[in-house]
Amino acid sequence: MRKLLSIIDSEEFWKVFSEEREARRKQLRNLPFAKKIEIVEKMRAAQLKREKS
Amino acid sequence: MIEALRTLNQLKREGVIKDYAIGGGYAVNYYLEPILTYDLDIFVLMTTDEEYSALYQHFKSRKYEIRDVYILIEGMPVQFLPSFISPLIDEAIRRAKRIRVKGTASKVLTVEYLIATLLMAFRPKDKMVIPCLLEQADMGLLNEILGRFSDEKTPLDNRLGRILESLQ
Repeated sequence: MRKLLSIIDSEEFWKVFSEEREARRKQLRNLPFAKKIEIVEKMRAAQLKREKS
Repeated sequence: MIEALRTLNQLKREGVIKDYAIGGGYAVNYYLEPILTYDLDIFVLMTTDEEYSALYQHFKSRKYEIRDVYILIEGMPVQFLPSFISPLIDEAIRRAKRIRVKGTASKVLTVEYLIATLLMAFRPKDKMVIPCLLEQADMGLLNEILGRFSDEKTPLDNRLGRILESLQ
């Protein structure tokens, strides 16, 4: 993130942004299934809270 | 969700269901990064409508809440998809991958069969995840499966072709 904030050139910015996003997605993909389930359950609870308010 | 899996395992032990496998959104989550999904799709091995009715009766008699097609198991809306609706689903369950989730045994569709079932449904949200799942699939095996189960009504191989073209 700090690396992104220091980039001025927009082409370089999007290149680094894409690389970091892909790295983050890979990290999330490799989580244990139980951990992914926890994340989904938190997402669902947050969404239901938004729908109620 | 894990409590729901424990309940399903109990149903297996009691002989109410022969076998099951996780499909749909949670199966996608098994292979990819977590994506919001509201219900648990369970593909269940059964051969007749009567068995399917008996499953719902089992839950009704135990006072589980049933909302439309969903049975609420420990707060999780579970939709049961019986294998008799498609030989592809039957085979997908039989060849599902054994997993353990926090010590609880279960099964999840292999990525190739998951893709095939998503190609059957072919909704916009299915089309979105298929390209990412393809990265993990054995394409030879996938094409072999699609070749056997494609027909005029559900041209699975054609649908995969359209997705692959859109990625060019």
